[in-house]
Amino acid sequence: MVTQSEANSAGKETGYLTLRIRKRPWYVWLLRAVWVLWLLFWLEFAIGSKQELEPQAFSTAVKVLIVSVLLGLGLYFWRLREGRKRKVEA
Amino acid sequence: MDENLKRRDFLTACAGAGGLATGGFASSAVFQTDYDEAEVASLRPWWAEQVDEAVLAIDDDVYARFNQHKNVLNAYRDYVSEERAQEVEDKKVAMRADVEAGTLPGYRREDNALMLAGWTLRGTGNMNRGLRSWAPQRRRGEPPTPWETTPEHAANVIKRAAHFFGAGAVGIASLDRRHIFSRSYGVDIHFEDVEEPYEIENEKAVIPDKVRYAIAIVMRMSPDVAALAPSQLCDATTSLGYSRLEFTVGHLGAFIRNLGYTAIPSVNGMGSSPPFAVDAGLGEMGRTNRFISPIFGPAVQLGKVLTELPMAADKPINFGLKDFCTACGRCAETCPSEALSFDEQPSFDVRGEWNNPGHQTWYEDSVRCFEFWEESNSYCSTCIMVCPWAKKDKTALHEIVKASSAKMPFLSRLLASMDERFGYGRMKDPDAWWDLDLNEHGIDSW
Repeated sequence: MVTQSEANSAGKETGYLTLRIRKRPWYVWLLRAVWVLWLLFWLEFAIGSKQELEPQAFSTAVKVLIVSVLLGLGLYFWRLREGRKRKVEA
Repeated sequence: MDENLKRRDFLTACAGAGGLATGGFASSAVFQTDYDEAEVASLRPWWAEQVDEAVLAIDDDVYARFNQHKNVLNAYRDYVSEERAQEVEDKKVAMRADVEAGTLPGYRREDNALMLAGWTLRGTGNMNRGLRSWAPQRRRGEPPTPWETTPEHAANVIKRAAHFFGAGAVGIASLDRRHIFSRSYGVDIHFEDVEEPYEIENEKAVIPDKVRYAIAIVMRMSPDVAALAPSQLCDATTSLGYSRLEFTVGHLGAFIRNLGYTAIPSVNGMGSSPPFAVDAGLGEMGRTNRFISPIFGPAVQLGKVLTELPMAADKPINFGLKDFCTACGRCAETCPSEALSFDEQPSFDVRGEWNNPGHQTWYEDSVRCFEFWEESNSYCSTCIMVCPWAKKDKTALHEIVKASSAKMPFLSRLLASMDERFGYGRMKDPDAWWDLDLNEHGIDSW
């Protein structure tokens, strides 16, 4: 990922535009994959429970699904904001 | 750069395809039965392990042929006082007024009519009567010569034919004569060195010595209807199940006779069906002292066809049910008549003469069970409804839970508790059942 400040400062000093690509660590991708699988699992369970005419299992699955989506997105945006904050401070 | 990207794309695509192929192969290996002619069509899940002997032991010194007339259905009045029998009868009659008026959910006129209609085909058969006749039912020509093939191929063909005639699961067991009743339908049952089975009315029925195999058949009940227990609407899946069994064992018997062999189709008579189904690797006995299939759970009915056609026999299975039932006990807790055992472990201690001794199980108080049937004008089935193994299997979670229970018995208590927390096993609204979209026999409702 290249930030605007990094690109600007690199260009001012050297006359070249330097692109720095920072990869996310492997465990972040792993966690994202686990999170997606977790969501798919509960989505499948919610659909299956609906088909099985099991209202409590369905509502439990939907609740877990919603909480998981919100927690995951919340964590994502929080990390994004923290990252930007660190870059601005740097 | 461009070349690198292409290579990367190529490698990514290869990895993706490889992953899909590996996943597909693994899932097919896990979720499908391997094609082994001897066990094909038994529908044994991968997490059910084949074992040499059934998990619940048999005491060979005690276990013997049982007189079916000691069954509580036949001998209830022998087990209780006259006053008690009258008390139960009075309660039954008192409730029948409501049943006839159709004012109770699950006992409305249409529920009652459906339940009674379900018995229609069953009512045409009996030991050596109707579809369960032992006589060759040939339309023309000479009796066929015996079909010659390998036992493995014969087992494969018989299992497929049984499925074709409506069986949910099929297995083959070597005939353990101790499972055959000593007396049933008012006649003594003997084994004799004869060519064909025969019957002398009100005296004896004879099974030829050459009959060495039992084809055990599992008939699936409607899970949606079983979830309406106790009610007469719930009883409709019981009555229809027996009629479907009548159809299936009758047709399978005719098929075997057309191959040139003796066939004795049977539902509940002649012998006890659950031990045959256990020997044939179709399931295990649960805390209910009833058969539980790893695929269909307890919502099943059993039949069998006895024959001398040489077939490769299946082995019993272990899918961790003993440990699960030890930890769970929900059937015993919810049984309205408190007829089921609260003992932690299965034992050889019978509860009365209605139990056939000599096999390890959770013996039930059949008198209490039967009295509730009478008082509630139903066949109850609450223990079937609440059992965590009774699922419609429309979500992968059930398969994961079953596999976890089978392979990691220490999780059983947690899994049983979770089942209750997710709301499974609660009685549904019988009136709402009539609005469901139904598939064949109401088994796959939406």
